[in-house]
Amino acid sequence: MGSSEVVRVPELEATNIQMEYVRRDGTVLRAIEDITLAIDPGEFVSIVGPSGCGKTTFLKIVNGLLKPTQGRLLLRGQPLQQRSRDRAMVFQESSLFPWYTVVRNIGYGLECQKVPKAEIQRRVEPLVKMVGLSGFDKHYPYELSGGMQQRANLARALVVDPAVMLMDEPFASLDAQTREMMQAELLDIWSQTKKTVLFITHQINEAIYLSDRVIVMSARPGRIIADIEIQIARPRTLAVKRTEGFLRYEDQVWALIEAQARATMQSDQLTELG
Amino acid sequence: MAVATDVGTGAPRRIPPTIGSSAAGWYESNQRLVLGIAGILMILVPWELVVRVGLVKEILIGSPSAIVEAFIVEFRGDAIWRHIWASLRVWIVGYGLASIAGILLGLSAGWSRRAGLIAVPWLNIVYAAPDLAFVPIFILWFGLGFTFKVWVVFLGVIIYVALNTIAGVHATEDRFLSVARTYGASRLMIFRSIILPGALPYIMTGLRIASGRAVVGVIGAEFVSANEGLGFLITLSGTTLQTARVFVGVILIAGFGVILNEILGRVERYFDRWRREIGH
Repeated sequence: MGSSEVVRVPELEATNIQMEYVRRDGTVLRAIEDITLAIDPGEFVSIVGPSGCGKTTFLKIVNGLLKPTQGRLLLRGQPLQQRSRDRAMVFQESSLFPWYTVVRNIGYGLECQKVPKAEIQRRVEPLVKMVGLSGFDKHYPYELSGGMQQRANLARALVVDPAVMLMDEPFASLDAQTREMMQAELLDIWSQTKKTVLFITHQINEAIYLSDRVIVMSARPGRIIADIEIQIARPRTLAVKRTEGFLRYEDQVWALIEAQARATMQSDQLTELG
Repeated sequence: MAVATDVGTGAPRRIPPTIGSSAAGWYESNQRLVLGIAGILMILVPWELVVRVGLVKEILIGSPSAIVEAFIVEFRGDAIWRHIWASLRVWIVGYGLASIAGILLGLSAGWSRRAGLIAVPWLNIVYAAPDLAFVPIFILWFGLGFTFKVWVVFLGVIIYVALNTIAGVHATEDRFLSVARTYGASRLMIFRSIILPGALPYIMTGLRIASGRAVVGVIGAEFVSANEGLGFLITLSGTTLQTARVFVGVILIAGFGVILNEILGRVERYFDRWRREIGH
């Protein structure tokens, strides 16, 4: 501290990440290609792209669930560990264990780290409150609405106090209104916790509303085709979605994605014809 | 919390329609009981009558009143308790040991791919064969008496429990395993937090179904060779033309089966309480 030179190390640094799968017939499918990306501490970054572009694949690589065929990943300047407490993932579908109550689900990550029961309880409690699930601690997941289940998912990821939160289309299965509410709540929670977030979505409007930066990916093989800084002041209310600046961002991203989506559709039709 | 209304079933309670006469109202609310008793009487009354008017000899079909009488006679003596205990003992030991062994076998054969490939063909072969087909072999190995009967029961139960447990382990969903891997769960933790709770409802179903098969095993083994037990009581009474006494044995066994099924059904629902269809 206090030294003259401050070196800013990105929270997450991906260099030339590539992922290939070998199909059953022996041909190689390249899912993502040459992804280079740096995310600063506390930054909220979203990745959007046409479906099948490899966004989720990239997220799984960052999470350590998949090993890339090429490339390098650094977390705070260190090579990624297979099992790491630095990352936590919020999954798309409800992935709460149906046989555990809400509190037990939220404390799961800590239980895996063999944290003593009393401390788990101490750490889970404020999070239950933060995500607005007070009074539902002893409920089973089936007793919660979709929105509440995703709050619990969010709390389960936050409780391990990860440096990076990875979110894989967490609101995709929610109805439109709940989804908007959850976006606003997520921003609120994010501003309280100051986590670095990597967020995957196919909803352009969601990406712009939430993020500091929106990364646009191409159709398969997924590459980064744009990295757009969203200069909309925070804190953002949902009303910001109807401002002119917001709509301009939306048009810009949509134009990029539309071109990609058309290319995908055409190549799909060609393969069907061929 | 605005979403609080989503919790629970959400369905409003159905208000029963107002009923004019009170007798009709009583019937409406006790329909199950009334029709259940009516169904039983529909069999018992004609049965008693055909014997009383001499249409069929009592020695062939017994009669409800004779069965009641036989019950009284039996329970005045103490031989019946010896028979009950002899059968129950075989059931408890055979079913108990086989349940534990079946769960352990099922968990390992479900968890380890290799163990599964070795065990499952055998389980399927033995499953297809009736338990009682093994009786002569077990008599050969263990002689007549307690041990061979326990083995008959054991074999029937272990197969059911193991196959159901394997199905339960295989039903584990990938998305839960992804969560566990994300949080760096150990293999033991994955087993404890995902495999076992997910398989428990299957295991409980296996245990419930197998309990009935164990009763069949006990009685069947006693039919073949025994000098005590309810199966023995039935064969002995049958060959000595004490028809009512046969029914005493049958009713005791059936009663045991009903109670057993009820208890295990409750245990099964308890372990299933986190599932939407059953909970609350």
